[in-house]
Amino acid sequence: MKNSNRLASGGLIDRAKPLSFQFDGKTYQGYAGDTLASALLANNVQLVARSFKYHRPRGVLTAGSEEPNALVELRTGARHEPNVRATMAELYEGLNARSQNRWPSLAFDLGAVNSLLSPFFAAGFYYKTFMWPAAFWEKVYEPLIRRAAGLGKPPLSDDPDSYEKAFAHCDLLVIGAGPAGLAAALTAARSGARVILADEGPMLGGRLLSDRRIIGNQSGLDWVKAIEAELGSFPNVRIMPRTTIFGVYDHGVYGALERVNDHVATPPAHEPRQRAYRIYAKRAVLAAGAIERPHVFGNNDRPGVMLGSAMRTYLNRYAVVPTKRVAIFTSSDEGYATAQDLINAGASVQAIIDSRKDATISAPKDVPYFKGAKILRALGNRQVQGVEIELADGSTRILDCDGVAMSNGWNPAVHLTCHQGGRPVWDDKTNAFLPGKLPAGLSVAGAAQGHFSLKDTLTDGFRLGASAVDDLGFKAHAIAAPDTDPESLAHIPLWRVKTSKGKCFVDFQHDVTDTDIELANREGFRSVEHMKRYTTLGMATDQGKTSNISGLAILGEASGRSMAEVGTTIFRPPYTPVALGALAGHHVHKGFRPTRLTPSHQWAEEQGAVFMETGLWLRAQYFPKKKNESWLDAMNREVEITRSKVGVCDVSTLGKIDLQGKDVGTFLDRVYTGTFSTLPVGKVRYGLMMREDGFVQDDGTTARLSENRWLMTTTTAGAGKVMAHLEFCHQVLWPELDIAFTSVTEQWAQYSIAGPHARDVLKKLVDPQHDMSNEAFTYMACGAITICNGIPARLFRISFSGELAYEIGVPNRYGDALIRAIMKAGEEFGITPYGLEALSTMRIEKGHVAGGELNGQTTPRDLGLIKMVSQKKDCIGKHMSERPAMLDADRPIFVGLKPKNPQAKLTGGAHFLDKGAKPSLDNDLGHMMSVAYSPMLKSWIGLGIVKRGRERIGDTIRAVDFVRGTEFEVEICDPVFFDPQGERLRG
Amino acid sequence: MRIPCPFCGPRDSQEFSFLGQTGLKRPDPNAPDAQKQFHDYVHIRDNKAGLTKELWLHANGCRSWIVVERNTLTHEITGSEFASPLTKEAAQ
Amino acid sequence: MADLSLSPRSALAPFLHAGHHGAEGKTGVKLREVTACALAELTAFKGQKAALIKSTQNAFGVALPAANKSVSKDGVTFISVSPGKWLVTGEGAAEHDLVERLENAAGSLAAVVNQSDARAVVEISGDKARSALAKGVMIDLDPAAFKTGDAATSFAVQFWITLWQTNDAPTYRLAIFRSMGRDLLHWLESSAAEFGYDIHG
Repeated sequence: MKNSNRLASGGLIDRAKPLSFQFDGKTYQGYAGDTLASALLANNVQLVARSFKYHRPRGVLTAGSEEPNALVELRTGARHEPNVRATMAELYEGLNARSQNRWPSLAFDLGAVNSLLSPFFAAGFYYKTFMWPAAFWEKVYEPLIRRAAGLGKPPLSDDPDSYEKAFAHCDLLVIGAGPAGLAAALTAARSGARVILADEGPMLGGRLLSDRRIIGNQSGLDWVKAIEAELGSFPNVRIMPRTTIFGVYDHGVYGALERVNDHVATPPAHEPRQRAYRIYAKRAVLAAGAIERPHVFGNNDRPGVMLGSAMRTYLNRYAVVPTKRVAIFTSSDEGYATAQDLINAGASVQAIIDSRKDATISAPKDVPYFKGAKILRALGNRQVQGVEIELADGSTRILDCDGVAMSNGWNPAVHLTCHQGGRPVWDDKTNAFLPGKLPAGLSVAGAAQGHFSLKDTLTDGFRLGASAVDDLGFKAHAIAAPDTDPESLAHIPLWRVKTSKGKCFVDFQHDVTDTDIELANREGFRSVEHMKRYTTLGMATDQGKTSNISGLAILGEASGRSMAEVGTTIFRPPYTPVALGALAGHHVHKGFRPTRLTPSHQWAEEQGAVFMETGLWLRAQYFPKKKNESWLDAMNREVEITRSKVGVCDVSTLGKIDLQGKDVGTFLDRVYTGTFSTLPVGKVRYGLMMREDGFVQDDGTTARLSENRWLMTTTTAGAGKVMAHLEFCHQVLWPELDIAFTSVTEQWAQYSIAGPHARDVLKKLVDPQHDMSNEAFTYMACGAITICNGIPARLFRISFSGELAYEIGVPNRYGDALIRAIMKAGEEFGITPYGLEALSTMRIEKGHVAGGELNGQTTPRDLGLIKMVSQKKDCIGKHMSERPAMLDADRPIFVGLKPKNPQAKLTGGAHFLDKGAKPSLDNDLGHMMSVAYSPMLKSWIGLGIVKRGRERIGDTIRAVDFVRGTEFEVEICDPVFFDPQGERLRG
Repeated sequence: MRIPCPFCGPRDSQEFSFLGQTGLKRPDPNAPDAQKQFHDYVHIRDNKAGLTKELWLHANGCRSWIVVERNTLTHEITGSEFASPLTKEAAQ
Repeated sequence: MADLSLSPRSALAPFLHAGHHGAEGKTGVKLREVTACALAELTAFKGQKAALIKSTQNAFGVALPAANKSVSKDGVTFISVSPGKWLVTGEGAAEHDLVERLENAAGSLAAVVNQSDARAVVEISGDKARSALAKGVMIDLDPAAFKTGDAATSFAVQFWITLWQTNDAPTYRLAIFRSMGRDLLHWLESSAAEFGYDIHG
């Protein structure tokens, strides 16, 4: 049985490299150069899969990426991959594949009982049956359907392999390395243009690998080798085998998937399994060839029924005779070429059944030959055991055979031409849909354009390769297509055998039959788009590469319309399935987005800090003293120590923008609600920034460092947005202003030192010539100083915590050293580092607004900051924030909230209702925006907006959180819970 | 998608961020009907199908605000220019 | 106060591991962090570009480069990053007085901002440098499109980058936000691994 179907010689396999592999647990042997499909056929394994819906036995239909049947699970464990097309899987030593969608075994599949129930599985069955009760959808119907139908199982553990993304650029991208593609690439390459030649297979040559042809005075294969050698000699050419161009995007952007290491068991160290490219091509030539059409007749899905062109591929490229006694079913002269190749390989051609009454081509000698005949059905179950045919006179007879080769003309591979919305157009001359409006920069050569003869294909390739690069200013020398051996391509498609017996499959992968399409038509789904969705024709992973056109023809026939009238659905990316892993590249796990590390990160790690993400930044959330100190305990401790002694916090993440120029003051007056032009040098002012729609977008402080130099800070999360906003204001709104700004967020490491001992700590760091006294360096002062013996620094006396506080900035290179120095200097005062939790608690205790309140839906008035809006000038957002509804007294306004029970854990997002009020939109008073446990008040506290809140200070209302299921009585109070007079920060 | 930046040349659209329709003039804040004008300025857009002029920021590039002429029906981009005469002058 | 002295640390110092990495027996890529390099951004004020060009020409002996270009002289490199804006690097003697010299040259013609600590600067060279960079850099680095002296601000992987080519080896320099240094290195190292790479301390 060993390679019983393998020819003794020939083919493009390497007989010196035998490979053993497993299929469904059984060990077989193949050769390097085989695909899994060719190796299985060489071992006479015909039954390789069960179908999607009916679990029908399926074999290998094609020899390419269009394969709808032979889908297997490849590899084991974490590398397990479902739905691999056996026709594309290159054989390697130890390959392990399994059939899928069968139970308990491929040969005996209980699911095949679905076939008996097929009346229930016809098109639209699910829609009509599993309609109600709706509650059944998720729990009952869907799991049931998913178990019964479906393809392979996904792997359940993380993929151990790596994937990459990459970018490539070229003048000309040639898609497909068949004769047209090779010709196009050669012409372009000789002109000096940068060329990328991509082909989904491992070898260049396309159809020339499968058919024995003559080009000029050499064999087709030798011609390919010569061109490949010449292309390889050009530094301006990049040949990309095993690379599928899967999508065409706007402006010459192409998606490509390179299967770098799918042809080996595991990728070598440091290499990815696959690489997804974005290719930027100035021009492209699509030379993707064509896909042969199957016939639609009874049991046309039986193992052993194969496309004629595929059969020739197995014979010539892989030296495999897939089946030994073959009936040829043809509507094209090409069936005769298949017959001849079979005879040459020593197989028996049982008959040629030509649907054309007046075919003029003559059959090989001694081959039974029936003109105007059709196959009504295939006999046999797990493999074809014969066919019943109908002769021209209407009589029927049974023919013995173990395989059928179908030739019904070709469908140009127009898929990529549709990706920019192009719609293929029916052409009566070629009986094919040809490319419609093409993506800009792309031309189509050879069979993909409906030019099927080898000579035409070559002519196209040479011509389009030249014109593409000539367009770009290169000078391509015309190359004349060499003569080729004669071929006969006449055909009249037979869209289906109407008198068939048994199920006639149109879409093999989705188990859609001709009667499903008729049903769709009867039920009114006559538009191709409706029919497609109702029957799911062409909606499987193969996107109907072998089925769509037959389906359209049957719809046309059923509805009395011509092909041109029916039209076609279009194709979307990807051309063939692409693993999500390849699209993700290395953007997995922590690589999903960048992590920005603070200057004190390493030090904080050493302290055992717990981190949290704020925007892209990773910041210390709290610094647990013991291993299991809870966040609440740690936060309480950090707040208490900061408020009683001193604390330090890394605030480098705040956005910092250096503004220079004589118009900065004017500019700031226009972007901030307050007035800045009057700010004296050496002072800092708090600023509120609106969007033009009147809602607050950010806040921060801006310092005037010198007459014409200012430093703005933004919130951590808002930094990027504010920068873009300011650039918009400058470049688009007020280009007349003379200002220059530069982000300096990353230049400065900045720490806030806060607490009664803040000045004491600072004094130990600041060089002695600087007067740090309260009188000399007042609240809201700023200045350039030096610390630690001459290190330049910037000092700002600003406070978010409400304590006496300073922010000190040093060039980032000193950031790590400075946090260590601050901790050392603060040791004698009992200093603590504090994280975001303590920072947040302290600002809530002080009633300062932050992220929860600056949510893009609040105006200065809503936040109780109306006084910050200068009435003497315009600013961005001013008019919009003052529309009547925005100033309506009923619009909720900022207040503090204190639970009646101090231990009631308030929640952000809770809505406020009056006591006894039903929860309804009308009764809604507002909502909670930020909450914290205040160690100073020994109570939970919150900030939020309440309708007429300022007038209701002292009232008790309910905070109701339906999501978390809590309800507490809370008292409306002033938002400043702690040190309302602000005495501490001026101390 | 690729967008031609008048400063950097053609670049992947991933480098840009989109704002919207261009050609809007920020109203005079002292106009008697300023509030109405601001409302229109902020909210009213032509939303044309076909050739449009749009503001894009070359955010991951030269940080220029640019005006891109794009056909919303075909995605064809027929030109771009600096949004600001200032940037244009500085780029020369 | 002597015990509170501050010692500087480069952006990538905590993450760099000198030596050979990735594929054995070959070194397609060499990586190093560019330290001892001052950086500044120079932004011309309104209408002052021509005057600024003249003034910097006098002070540094080179003309400020046009879009997508860089020029170097005596350890100072001007890289065009935006209309009217240049990133300037200073090495050797220029490391220590770059900002001051720029401020003197700029006078009231331009804003000068010290960015010496704001960026991590990495140098990538070797015959596979281009292939490694192509795994993230979206612009065309083929010699036909990008040569020594060429520069770009662009987007790579997830970083806003300034990239310029310093010689035909080829050698490229890449500057990104300092806080993202660890991620940048991670990407460069995984991209270079298949070619084998050396990290120079």
